[in-house]
Amino acid sequence: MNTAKALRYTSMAAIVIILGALTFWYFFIQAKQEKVMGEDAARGAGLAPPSLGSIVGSTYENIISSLSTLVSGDGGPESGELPRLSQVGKTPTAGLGFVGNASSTRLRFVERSTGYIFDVDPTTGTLERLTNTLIPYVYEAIVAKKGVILRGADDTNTITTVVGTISASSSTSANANPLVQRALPDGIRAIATSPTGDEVVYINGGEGVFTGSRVTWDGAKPQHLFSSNLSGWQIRLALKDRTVIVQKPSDNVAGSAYVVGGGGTLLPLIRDVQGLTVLPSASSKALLYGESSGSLSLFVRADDTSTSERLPIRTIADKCTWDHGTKPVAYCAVPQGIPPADFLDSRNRGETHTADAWWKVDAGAASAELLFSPGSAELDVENPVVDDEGNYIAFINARDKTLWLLRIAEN
Amino acid sequence: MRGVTATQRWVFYFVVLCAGILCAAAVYLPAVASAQASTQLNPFFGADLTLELSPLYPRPGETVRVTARSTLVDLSGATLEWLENGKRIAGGVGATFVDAKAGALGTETTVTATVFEDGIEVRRESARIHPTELGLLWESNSYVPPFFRGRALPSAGTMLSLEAITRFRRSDGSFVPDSDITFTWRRNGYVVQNVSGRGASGATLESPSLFGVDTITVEARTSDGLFESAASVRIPSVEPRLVLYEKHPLFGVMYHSAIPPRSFRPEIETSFTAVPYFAEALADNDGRLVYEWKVNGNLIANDPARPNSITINARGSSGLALIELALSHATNLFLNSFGSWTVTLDSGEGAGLFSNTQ
Repeated sequence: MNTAKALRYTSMAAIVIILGALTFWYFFIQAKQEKVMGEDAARGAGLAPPSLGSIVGSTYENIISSLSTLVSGDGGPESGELPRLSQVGKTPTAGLGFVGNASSTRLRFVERSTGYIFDVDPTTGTLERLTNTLIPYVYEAIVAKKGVILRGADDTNTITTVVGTISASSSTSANANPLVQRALPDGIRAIATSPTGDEVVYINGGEGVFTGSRVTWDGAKPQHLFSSNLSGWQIRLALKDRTVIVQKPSDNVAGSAYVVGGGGTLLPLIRDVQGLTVLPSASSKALLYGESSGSLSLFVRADDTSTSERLPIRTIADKCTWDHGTKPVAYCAVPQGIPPADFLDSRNRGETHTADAWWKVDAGAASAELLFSPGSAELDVENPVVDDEGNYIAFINARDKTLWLLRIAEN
Repeated sequence: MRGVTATQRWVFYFVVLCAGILCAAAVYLPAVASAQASTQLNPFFGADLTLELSPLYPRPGETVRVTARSTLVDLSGATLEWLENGKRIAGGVGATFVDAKAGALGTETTVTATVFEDGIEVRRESARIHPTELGLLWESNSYVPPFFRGRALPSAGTMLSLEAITRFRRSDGSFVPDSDITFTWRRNGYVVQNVSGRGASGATLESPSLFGVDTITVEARTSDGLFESAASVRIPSVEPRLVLYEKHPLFGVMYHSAIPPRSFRPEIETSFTAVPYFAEALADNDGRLVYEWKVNGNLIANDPARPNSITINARGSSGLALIELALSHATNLFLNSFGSWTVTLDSGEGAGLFSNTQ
């Protein structure tokens, strides 16, 4: 009898233990499922396929729905205003720029997948699509006062470039209009627009001879600027008639920058700086330049004859933008961690990304102060632009090519 | 010569020969002071003086150290006086060097050293400093994708493009054109004859060999010898690098986001494109490039039009794909690259073709 009793108690205990284990397992699996579903949702899985049936298309709706994405986490927008830092779109952007005047500044950008041009009110985030001409795979775009420049590549890797003009009616029309296009020569290696936006400078060529040319926005008055055996140049247009060309950089490889002078002469601006990146001011002869030789350094120079001053921030000049005001002020995105030794090369290949904070640089005093830290948002800033009034900085996050907007003032 | 023995004749010839050698040396030694130091002929036998410039080819505004040397006079015990454009800048016993500042382009700075012994001038020498600028730029014709923001680096089998940018400014303000300048290109000290010559400011040379480093030097001089400069650069060879990207149906090749060694893609089907950075190729689908793809150990046939791309569909599978890619070259035996990536695709239901790619 004792044996039977013991067996009964043992069985009951086993049943209780099994039930307890099953209950634990149930809650454990449920928690895991919720976690997995949360991750899937974060990656976008389970979303309904985008509908192409609407008037403006799914990408437009995606952008609309993603407007005013709150990143800094300091409360939602009040009275229709965007937070200080906001993600303007979730789809890759080809290029951006500010247009308009003091009373109606707008952030204009080009969608990479469609070539559509959009305007955003930086205050409210109100979005307007300006064009409906489909131009797929726009890898690079320049937004100028008079229009846009769109760049793509064909199957043979030849770069194609078109100048697009938005008619005055289209920017005010409720319905988007076609983009008037004019093709520039194929194989343009580098291109830039003047600060006023009425001139374009580009480098093209082949067979060991590359030429820099300047044309007006409508393609008139072509002017030969210089010739070079090299194709790997970047163009920076600063003051009027001041064309700066910079060798494409690589870590620990010396680079130089030149001002294109009359008769095609190249006047040295900066010579033999390893991993050189350069950003001349559009309103003065001041410039920022960066060095990448195992670590990053940033320097400022007031003019061509001044000595360079090392700034207390470690970044590259490509992550900076000059303010348009009378004071020599620039804004720079600075990596918050220590970048790898081959930062430039690996970043250009898309293998490394940074998480940047924004700093304000006083070029006159060669000093810098923290402007904004984005918290948990990981922003690898590229192509930053300041509006004419110095209120906003727009930039692309190189991690995913999305467009972001930062209000400079806290309030 | 009657009565003169053969031995006496030979002694006479020997003495004449030695005197000739010494006279030639007295004239020649000061002349080698430096490429840019003008030299007065030494009329005195026994007091030589040369001036050396460092750097040899100063840039505008650069500090130049001028050092006096003599093989026959103990300068450390002699009194030297230094003049810069006729103005005394230094002097004293044993003052064998002085720092002068090169002027702007197109200017001439004359530094004169005078040696005194017992208060008597025994030698005077001048050096003229003509500041010049010479930049030596380079890039490779190796493959980099369109819109790549970095430098194309050389790998074995590719070519180097070099360009010398000179600024030789005459006193009248004009610049000496490249067509009036003789350029001498050297690789590791050896003259490359076929790219050197008058007006040859650009050169195309073979890149360094595999794992090699070449020192490329260019010397530029005018025919009158008034302007001269040189620059050199060490250029290492790099190995081509295979980088894998997603080729998105809407956004194209995602050059900004390389596929890491291990990653998850939330799509069932994904296309990938390999980019052979710094390889000898005109395009990533260059016919000379041989791509060999394997997925989970199985050899995958290439798309003839896009051999550097592959599309993987994970429907009905575990979703795990070990992608291996070997790259070689039809004619360049030095090109061998390999890459492998473990990609987990979404093999289940639910995720649409156009779902987010992040």
